[in-house]
Order: sequence, then C-alpha cells, then structure tokens
Amino acid sequence: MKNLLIGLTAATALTLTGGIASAGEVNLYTSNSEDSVAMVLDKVREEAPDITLNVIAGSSGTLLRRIEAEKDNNVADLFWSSGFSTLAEFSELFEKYDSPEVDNLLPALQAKDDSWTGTNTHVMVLMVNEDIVGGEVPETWEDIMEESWKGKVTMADPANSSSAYAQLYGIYKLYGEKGVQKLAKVVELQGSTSGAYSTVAQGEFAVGMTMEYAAQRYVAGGQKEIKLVYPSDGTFLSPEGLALIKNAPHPDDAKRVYDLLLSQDMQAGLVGLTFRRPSRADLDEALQSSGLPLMKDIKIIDIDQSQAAADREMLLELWAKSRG
Amino acid sequence: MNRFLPWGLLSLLALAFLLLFIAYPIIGILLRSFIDESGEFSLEGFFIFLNQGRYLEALANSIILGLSVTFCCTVVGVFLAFIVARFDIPFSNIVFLLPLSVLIIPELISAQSWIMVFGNNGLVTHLLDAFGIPFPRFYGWFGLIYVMTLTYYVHIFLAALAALRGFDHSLEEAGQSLGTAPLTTYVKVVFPTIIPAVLSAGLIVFTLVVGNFAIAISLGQRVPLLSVLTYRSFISELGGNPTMQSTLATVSILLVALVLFLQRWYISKRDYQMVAGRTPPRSKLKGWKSWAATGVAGLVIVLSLLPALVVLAGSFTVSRGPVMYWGQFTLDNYTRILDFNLGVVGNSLKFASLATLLGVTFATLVSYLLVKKRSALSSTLDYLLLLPLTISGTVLGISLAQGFNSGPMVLTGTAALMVLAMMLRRLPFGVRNASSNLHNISNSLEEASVSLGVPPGRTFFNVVLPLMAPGIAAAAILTWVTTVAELSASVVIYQAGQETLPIQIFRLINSDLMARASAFGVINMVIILVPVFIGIRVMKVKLFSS
Repeated sequence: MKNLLIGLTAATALTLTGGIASAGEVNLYTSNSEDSVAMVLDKVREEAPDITLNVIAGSSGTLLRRIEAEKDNNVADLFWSSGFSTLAEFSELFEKYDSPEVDNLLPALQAKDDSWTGTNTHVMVLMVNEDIVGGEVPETWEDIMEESWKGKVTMADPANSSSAYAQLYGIYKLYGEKGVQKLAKVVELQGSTSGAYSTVAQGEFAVGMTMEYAAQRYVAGGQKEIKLVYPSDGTFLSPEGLALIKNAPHPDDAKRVYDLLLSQDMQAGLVGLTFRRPSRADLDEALQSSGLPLMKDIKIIDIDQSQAAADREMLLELWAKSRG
Repeated sequence: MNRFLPWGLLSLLALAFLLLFIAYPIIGILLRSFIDESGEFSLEGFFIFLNQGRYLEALANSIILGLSVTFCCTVVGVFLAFIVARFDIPFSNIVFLLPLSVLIIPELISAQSWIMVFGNNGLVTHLLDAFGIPFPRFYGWFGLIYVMTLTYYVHIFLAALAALRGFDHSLEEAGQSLGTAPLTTYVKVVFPTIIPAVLSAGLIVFTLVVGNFAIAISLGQRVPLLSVLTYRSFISELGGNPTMQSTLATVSILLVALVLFLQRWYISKRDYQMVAGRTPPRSKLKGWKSWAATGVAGLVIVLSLLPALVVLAGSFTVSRGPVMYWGQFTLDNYTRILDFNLGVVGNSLKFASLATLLGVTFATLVSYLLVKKRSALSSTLDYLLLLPLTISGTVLGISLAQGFNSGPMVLTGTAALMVLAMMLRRLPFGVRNASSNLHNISNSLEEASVSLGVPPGRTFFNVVLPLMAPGIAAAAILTWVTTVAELSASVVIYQAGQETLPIQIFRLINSDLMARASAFGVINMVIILVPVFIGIRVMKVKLFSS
C-alpha cells in the first residue's frame, strides 16, 4: 500500500514539474476502481519488481482529454480502460502494440486491426428486482418491449451513456426500427449510467437494462432479490480495451505492464474482484467462482462496433422521434 | 503625494481581476448561446430549448421546485424564529447552533444521508416495511422538497429572527391597547414588518434551489431539472454541444436575474423603519402550548442534525460492494482511504486553503476600497461582485472552462482554475463579511496616523487591518467552509488527479457505494468543523454578526 502512496506522490510531482521520469517507471492512467489498481500494483511488484508503477486515476473521459492535452509533452504510458467506441474517438493518441497474449483472447476482443487490445467486456443483461417485479420475470428483450411493462423498466439515456447506446443498437439490430419504437414507448430513462442499476437495487424499478458486472455486485453483496437475466433472444457485448500511448516516455517497460494486464493470473484475479468479464478465453474456473455464466452458455449477437459508431446519429434521431 | 496611489491603482487592479474572471466568462457564455457550431449567429439553441419538451419541462419543474421549497422554508423558518424570539423554551441555546449544522453538513452529504434513511433501501423504509407499512417514494418531488427545505430553511430562520428582534415592541402594545386581539396584531402589525427581510432571504433560497446540483442529481431522477440538464449537457460521456450548454446556462442566469428584479421591485414599494426598537420580552409558555412549541422546534432541530449522525454511522458500517450491513461495524472504509485516497484529502486541503487565502485577501482589500476609498470605479466593482450570486456553481464552472480553454490564457484543466472557481463562488459573501465592521471604524483614526507622517500603506497594515480582524476571521472561516464543500463548479472543471473530497463522494454515491462515501463524508465534515470550532471557541469569532 505504501508503494501506491509513493507512486501517487511521485506521479503528482511528475505532472507538476512536467519532468521526464527515470528508467524503470511506468505511468498508468486508469479509470478502474482503486482495488483493481491495488491488485495490479501487487502483481507488478511480484512479476516485474524493477518497474515502479505510477497511477493517475479518474473517469475515462477526463483521463483521455488529459492525455490529449498533454500530447506535446507526454506523461502517460498506458491507458486502461475504456469502451472500444470511445477509444476509437481518441485513436490518434495510441500506438499499436502486438502483445504476445493477444492470441489467448476471445476473438471479439483481440482488436487486431486497432491500436488497442481488449481487456474485458461488458455483457448487457436485464437486472431484475424480484420483490418488485410481481408475476413473471422477463426472459427476452422482446418481453420488456410489451405494453404491460410500461413504467417498470429503466435504462440509461442512450444519448449520454455509451453502454445504453450499445443496448439500443443491439435492439435495433435484433428487431429493427419497430423494436426501437416499441422500446421507446415503454422504457423510463435515467440521466446517468449508474441510474439504470441503482434504481433497480433500490426497488424503484422492477427491471433495469444494464451491464453484467454492475448487477452482479448486488448479487455478490448479498441482496437476494436481485437476479440477472441474460436475454435468450441474444445479448450484446460492449468490449473495453487498453492502449499504449503514442510517444510514451517509457515504451519498453509499458509493454511489459501491458502484457501483465492481459495475463491469466491478473485477469482471473480481476474478475473475482470486479465481476468484469475478462477478455481471455481460458478463465472458465474464475468465471464460475465469481458466479458468472460461461461465455458458451450465453447467446451473443455479433455487433460490428465501428458500424454501431457510424449509425449513431441516425439511430439517436430515430430514438428521439420515437420517444416523442 | 499622488492621491491616485496606491488605492486608485489597487481599485483598477481589482476591477481588472473581476472583469477578466467574472464578467468575461459570463458574457462569453451569454454570447455563445447565440452562436451555432459553425460560428455563425443563430437562435438554434433557443429554438431547440423551446421545441424539445424536456427542456421546457425542466424549466417549469425548476421554477415549481424553487417556489415550493421557498414556501416550505418560509413556514418552517418563520415559525422557528418566532418561537425562539418570543418564548422561553428549554433548549433555545441549541437553536443557535443550527446555522452551523447547515455549514458543516455539505448539501451532498445531506442528500446522501436522507437516501440512507428514507430511500428504497433506507433504514426507516426497511423498518416500516417490516411492519407492513409502505413508505412513499422518496425519489422525486417529495424527497427534493423535503431535503431542500431542511437544508435551506436556516437562511430564512436567521433573517426572520434578526427582524423579529429588531421589532419595536411598543407597536404591538399599541395595537393591543387599541383592542386588537394578539393574533390579529401579529398578522397585521408584526409580520408585515419582517416581510422585507424574509423576502430577501427567500430570494437567496430560491436561487440556491434553482442552482442546486448536489441534491437535485441525487434525488431528482424522475424530475428533470434545469441544473441537472445543464450539468449533463457539459459532461456527457460522448461529447456535448457547446451551443446547448450555453443556452441552458443563459436560461438559468435569466431566471435568477428576473427573480432578483421582481424582489427589488417589491421591496422598493414597501418601506418600514424601526425607530429605536425595544426588544419584546420572552414569555414562558405553559401547558400543552409549551409542549407543542417545544416539540415542533425540537423536531426541526433533530432533523437538521440527523444527516451528520447517519453519515457517521454509515462510515463505520460493513458493506460488500453496494450492499450495506447495518449493525455490523468496521474500520475498513477508513483504512481504504488511508491506503488509496490520501491524495484526495490532500487536494481538498490544498485547493481550499489556496482559495481561502486568495479569496480573503481579495475580499479584505476590496471591502476596504469600497467602504473607505470610494472612487469612480466603486459602483462598477459593487455590481461585478453581485454577478457570482446570479449564477449557479455549474454555470460558473462551465463559463470558466469555456472562457479559458483557448486564447492567450489557457487555464482549463489546470489546478489554478479549480482554485479560482472555488474562490469566485464565495467572493460576494467574503466581501460582505470582511466589511461588516469596517463601517464602524472611524476615518479619524486613519487620518490621525497619516497626518503623523505614516504612509497610507503602512497605516492600512498597522491601524486598519487589526481593527478589521474579526470580520476577516469570519470571512476566512466561512470561505473555508464553503470551499471545502464546493462541488457544483469543481465537478464540471476537474481533471484526473484533481479530485476533491466532494467530487470523490459524488462519484462513490454515483456507483452506489454509500459506506465508502460516508467515510469520505465524515472526513469532509471534520475538515470543515475544525477551523469553525477553533474560530468560535478559541478566537471568539462571531460568524453570524452580519
């Protein structure tokens, strides 16, 4: 723990002076929770004791804007992590690195043509509060689009939240314009991504369209009435990735940390901690002990992330019109 | 010696500072609402505002909420002031601690704690649930009005209390000796005279409600509000539309300006002056009246202080992820902060002390210039100092971030901008505090010093400054308190690595991690409380003299 403190102070001093750090250091900009970061620090200390990892934490938007602002005098070596579509918007900040670990990842997360690598993926689920839902639990996306669910289902605003947009795009792929219009008539919108799960946990809504990890935190915490439904008409992935910064001050050491973040041990530990589904294909055991279903037991609809980004304006306009 | 130096030069510098950091960003945001993305003049922003239902709905909701909360605050505040001013109740000494409770419990923490009590997973909700009694939905109008009333009624309480104390009792006696019943006398003679004071306090409450961000975003999930939409337009994960941000900010500035104008107009039509007020005696209440008055006043006080206790309990409560296990205690929430987040505490201390230092220095200088060295620039300075009052923290944050993100002075993303935003928000109050006893310092003292050959600058430091000290100390403490709790402006402009305690609390509440948010909340309250305690107890500073 002490090392983290030293790391943080060092990183702060570094950014204040704008100086270049000496060898054996890596500056990691991360949007991940501090307990995940602590696990990474322990791992780096164990596997690569010669590297001092300095951590700057924040939300991914503020971090990416900061990296952009520092472009001419780079401080960051690595950015971990954000959704593929967000990374695509900032792709000119990254440098491609072909990690030897990439071949162990799920094909959808290898991102071989992009300048980043998948670390984990969100899986869209229906989070159900059984105390509130009364009668039957919905099993498909189509179920909750029925008139009878009006006012009981919630999601984040697709215009503001990237995960909500992924849900909307998936429904558009599955059920077309009709599906979008039906959903628009039924669902209540939350202003923030977290609203879609916290309001269900609080019992304000019976069903929330949200991400697997967010809902699983309540189940693991012991809130018995919360249940996760993986819609049987197929669900959607929203992968997140890690990237090496272009002209990073310490590229060689940064690549070693990059490989570590994709390693089996690391990802197994992280899924137990955060319930974020790892990008590696060889972690069935870790998934099971976290209470998450295996990838082969979930029906996944293939989504072309770049197409989803390209259709964004059109789909949001359709959405706004359908909401009326 | 040139009369213009040094005071004229300092006035000019102060004016330049205010023009650059208050007038320029605000005028900028007003202008940008008329410019579209291609840089051409356009009314598109306002067109969208008027034609997309949710914006007008949010505007209407904000106004309705402002009026309802102001009304509730007036009822609670005037009632409590009346009881305290007129009757001898057992714990009237505790009542005078109330204004403090509002200072030491940041809005965000009060919203958070009430969610922990009345929210769908709350303590009371669960308790009632066990008895089969459903508790009404707390999120939405009920929660918003309830929490905001408890947060803001103190403003009206203090104003009404001061006015009631200044009321000349012989007027009331005159009314009664002419045969009017006591109650009618109150309604016809006493209340009209306190209306101007209550109205100005009511205006402050209204602007605070309309600009409120912390409570609105925590409780108003089903009620679209202007302040929340403004914030969202700026921090949208997927990039916002600058025209829309400016338009929303402009609408909220116009709303507050309109209310300010109405209030001025109303007060200008009424004028009461008390001649040598004789404070009415405090009578003892007997029987059920005593119980009722004491009970209601006591309830208000308990409800005002409860959030602090709930947060304290929450911070020691075991939690697994977002799920809290009430009744099981742990120190984990604190050890985590020691292990991971000392930087956040450091940021808060660093930014708030810089903002306080700068703000109080500036306020001291400006109040001296305004009271003692009036010049042609003074009235402009007066008006510029009013401006921060008309804008909410969110709008201030947006205007600074937009105003200084390009051009010769790029501040967006720097720690300097955080400090600046915190300092500017509190500046009008700081000037008022610092000048509070300046009016009573006779000019002859200063003139005597100067005529004995001491230069004006040294006279200021050796004669005037020591006499101003009590006001400066009050300004320093109040500035510290508000800057440590500042959220709505800093949350808009902070960058990675610049998180303060309120920002961290906000983020944790957002991820539904209440126990950990509570531990930060307790630390935040302690940081606020220590200087207040030292100031009142050790330095005998009167915080509420003005």
